[in-house]
Amino acid sequence: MNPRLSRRGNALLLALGATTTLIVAAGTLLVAVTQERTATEQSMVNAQARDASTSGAEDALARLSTDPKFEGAFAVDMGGSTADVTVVDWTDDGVDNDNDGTKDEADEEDMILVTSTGRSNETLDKNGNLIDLPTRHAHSVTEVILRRTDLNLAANQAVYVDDPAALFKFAGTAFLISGNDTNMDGSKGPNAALPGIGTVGNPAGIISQLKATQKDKVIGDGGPPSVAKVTDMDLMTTMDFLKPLATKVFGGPSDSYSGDLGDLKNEKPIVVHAKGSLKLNGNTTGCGILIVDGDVDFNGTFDFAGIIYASGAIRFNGGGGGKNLRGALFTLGAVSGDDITINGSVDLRYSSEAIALVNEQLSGGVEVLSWRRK
Amino acid sequence: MAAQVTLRPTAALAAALLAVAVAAPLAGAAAVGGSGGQAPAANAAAAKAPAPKGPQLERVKLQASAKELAGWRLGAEADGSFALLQDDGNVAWLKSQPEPKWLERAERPLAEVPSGHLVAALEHAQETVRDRCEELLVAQGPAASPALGSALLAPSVEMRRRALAVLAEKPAKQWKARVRERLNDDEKSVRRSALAAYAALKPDDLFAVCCDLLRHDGASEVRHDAIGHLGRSGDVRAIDPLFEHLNGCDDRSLRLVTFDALKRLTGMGFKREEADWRAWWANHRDETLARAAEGKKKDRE
Repeated sequence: MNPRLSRRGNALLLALGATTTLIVAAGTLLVAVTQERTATEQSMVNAQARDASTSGAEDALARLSTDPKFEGAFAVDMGGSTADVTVVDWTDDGVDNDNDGTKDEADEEDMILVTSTGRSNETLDKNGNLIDLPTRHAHSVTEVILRRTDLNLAANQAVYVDDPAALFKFAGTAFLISGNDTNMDGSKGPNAALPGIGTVGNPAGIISQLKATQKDKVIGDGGPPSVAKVTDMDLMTTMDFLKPLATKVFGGPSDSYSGDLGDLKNEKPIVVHAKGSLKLNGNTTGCGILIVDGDVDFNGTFDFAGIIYASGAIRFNGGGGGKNLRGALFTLGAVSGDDITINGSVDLRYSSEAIALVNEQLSGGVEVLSWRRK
Repeated sequence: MAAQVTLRPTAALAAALLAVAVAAPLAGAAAVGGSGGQAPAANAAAAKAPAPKGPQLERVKLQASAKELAGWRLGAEADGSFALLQDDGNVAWLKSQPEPKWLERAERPLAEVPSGHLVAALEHAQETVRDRCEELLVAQGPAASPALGSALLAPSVEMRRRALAVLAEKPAKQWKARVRERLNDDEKSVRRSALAAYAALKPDDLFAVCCDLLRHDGASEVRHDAIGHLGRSGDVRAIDPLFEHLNGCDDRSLRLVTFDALKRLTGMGFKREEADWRAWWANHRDETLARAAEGKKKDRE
């Protein structure tokens, strides 16, 4: 046999083998790429559907925040994806929404269900049935359960101290704590006078901390000094109820702030929640509800209409300008040392007008109880 | 017809400067005089004196009811009268209207007021005088400390309590032993003030003292303050005694301050749920105490 022919045969075999290997590899790669592309395309439409359903739910929340009585259905077109949104008030829909065997009972009052179905590359026929399309398509459902908030906050005194044994530091005589109803403009309010300071238990411990020249700085019902035993309040529950309504939140554990907390000038209240201690420096004005989970220091000029809740120390520090509150102040008062400091020009007055403003303008908001996406 | 006086600009300027030169000492004297200075000689003296530094108190000499009195005007007023701490240590009440005949009035450094007289007045019959003397002793600061020692042993509860209140604001190490002694006072208000004064000294044994008071003091107010100090101590060893005290404690105020102390010590937020606090402590006690011990060891190294 010609040795040259034999070598040619070997080369041909080698070439065939290499070609086959390449074809197999290329085929495998093609399959992998195709699968990857399919998965990517599906993932994209899934994401589009999820985003659409979330956007639809958020749109409903936005509508409810301006009109808490909003009900009905609407569609949101996001160019390529859509969301069909329904808002149902459970109060009187004739359905046992919470599956407890009773329709429209007290549990369902003021509860709202938002259902947002986001669709990507999906088309429905006139009966609402999905038309089978030869494209990647997906849908996602977001269900949000909300509760309408109905604020009915009240005060039985200008300053409430939960702990009758709390230690105050009253410094000087430039302060005034007044249970006499005062309007936001400083004029006399319509309601009867309340105690300047109210506490649960014997008020003697607080009265004994007022110097002779300071006793007429706490005025109101039964004064001076107007310090009285008042009804126990479940402050923690109230604070927990209000916190989700906050539109301005300080993350804690220690924050400083100077500026506006709501719009005092135009009487537009907001709920502010500090998840730790808060120092208010400089010039701070505000209107609404201020909730502080820790200590609160008022250092600069402070002018606020509404209600302040604090679970830690409250320090109105001297200098830096006057501190004015029209409304009411509540402190858990489970504190010791100089935790309630009233120093410098501090003017704390009960104001039924400021409390009514907060109740009226902040009522009707919605609180998100659950958010679920399917 | 009224004569019109017209000044040229230079003359007007000179007149203005003259007016300022005349008005300044008068204004100063009026400020010194407080309720309207009526003694030209005293005013002139005050105007000449250099402005003293630091806290001031008005030193006066006056004639009232044909008697000449000298002393310090305390700044305590009631029912149209003002209190004068006389040089013999007695407090006299004098009518503000009609004004007494002032023989001498001047603002003098507060340090010149005899602290012993202020301390003696801590048991004065009138609360405004007691309050004011306490404030002045705080304002005197360390200069008043020597005079406070005897007050800590005085038979008067009010004097002991107020002296301790001053020491809580202006701690004085030389009275540490006496302040500690007062933690065993018969009167709970004194023990309460003593704890505040002792804590202000930042002693090494504050933790042990507070634990002791928590276990043995009969007054809930004192135990309340002891819990407060333990909560602020940052020492997690306090948690066990706090839980121990919580056993069977029905006093609302004590329970509130205990939960607050636990929150401050642990950073946890179980509010006023005793069961939740206990459950958490049962699961984290060893780890928390070990971490604290390690931290202290590192600090020592």
